[in-house]
Amino acid sequence: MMSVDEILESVGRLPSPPHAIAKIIRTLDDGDATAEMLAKQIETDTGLIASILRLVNSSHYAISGGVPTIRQAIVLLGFDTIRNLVCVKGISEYFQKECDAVFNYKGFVRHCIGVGCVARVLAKPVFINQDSAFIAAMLLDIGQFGLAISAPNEYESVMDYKKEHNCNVIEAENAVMGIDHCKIGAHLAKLWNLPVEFCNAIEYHHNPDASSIHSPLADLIHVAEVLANSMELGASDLVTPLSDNAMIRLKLSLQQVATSLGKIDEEFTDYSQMMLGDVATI
Amino acid sequence: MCCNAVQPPVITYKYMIRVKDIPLIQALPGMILEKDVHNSLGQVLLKTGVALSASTISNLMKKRIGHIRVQIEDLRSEEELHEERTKVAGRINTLFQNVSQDGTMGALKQMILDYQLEKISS
Repeated sequence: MMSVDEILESVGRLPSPPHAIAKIIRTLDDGDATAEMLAKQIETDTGLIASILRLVNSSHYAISGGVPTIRQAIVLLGFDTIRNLVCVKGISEYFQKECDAVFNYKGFVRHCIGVGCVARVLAKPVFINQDSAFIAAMLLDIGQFGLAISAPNEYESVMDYKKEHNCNVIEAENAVMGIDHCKIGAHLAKLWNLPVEFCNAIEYHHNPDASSIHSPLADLIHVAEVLANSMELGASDLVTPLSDNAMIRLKLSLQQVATSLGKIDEEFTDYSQMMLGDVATI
Repeated sequence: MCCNAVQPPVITYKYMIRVKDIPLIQALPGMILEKDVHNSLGQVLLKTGVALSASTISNLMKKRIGHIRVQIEDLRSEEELHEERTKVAGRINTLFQNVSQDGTMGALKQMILDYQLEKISS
């Protein structure tokens, strides 16, 4: 069994997401980001150009005549839509590329998309940028992903422990390795130079009250994961406790959440279909 | 009329309609749209309530529409529905097994249960 330092070192060697994606993620809260800059970033990555053109030309958008270039896609669908698609698609493909056969890639990505959709829908009533919420939520469990890929033996022991004790993954991780995927994820997020707010949200998504700075994004992501597990969006874990304080800080009521469930399901079906090419099933 | 007259049994003909998202390839003429079909530019291609015909389906295919939301007749029996509801309740109990059953978590569990049961019946 590796020590905590060895685990962090090993996970840290995981290839980072494409440069263009990380750079675009950093523009999410930048009011000065322009369509020109976005187009230029996408055009630095031929794989990304192909993926985005495939998406905007898919049945989901149903644009007659087709969209031949990235610049045209931005004009037709809008800057925010394309930026969001680039981030979601880029992250999904990154996960797919790095994962091996042992790891349930589709279930994992579907879960990331699930948490992303919850965060996106609930971001609206609490006045948080919906795209930032979606992308931060999609990156929530990068620690778990990094661990499964970089320290497969440790990951397997965690899964065995979880099964044997019928507990949540976070309890199993702390018991087996002395560190959990929130800390590992924050370590990766810092290495990848993700926005500070994202690092904070990833580190405290299971316990937002423990954070010294309470960011609305971290609180929202926490609520989104609990809800995504409750709704069985993707490969779900057992439901973990929801922080009453996070709900209070967000000024979000369960009643508001209840009225959003249909919309969340709808977005989840749409995005799963678009990103994974299949209809989400429980 | 004599009050002892035998009354015919009351038969309620109940046909249940469900709303379902289906891939366009499964669409059949006669199906009623439950949601506007539009392209990403916000242009409405077909309105809610329209009955699909062979030609509208083929038009949507040409426009490469993926999924549509339609009404379909529910052919499930009461027993099957009951079985589905029991399964859902069981799954939710499992999901919430490690958290408090009172306070916020109890309320959240009930909210999810109500929502999932409603989804089965609607």
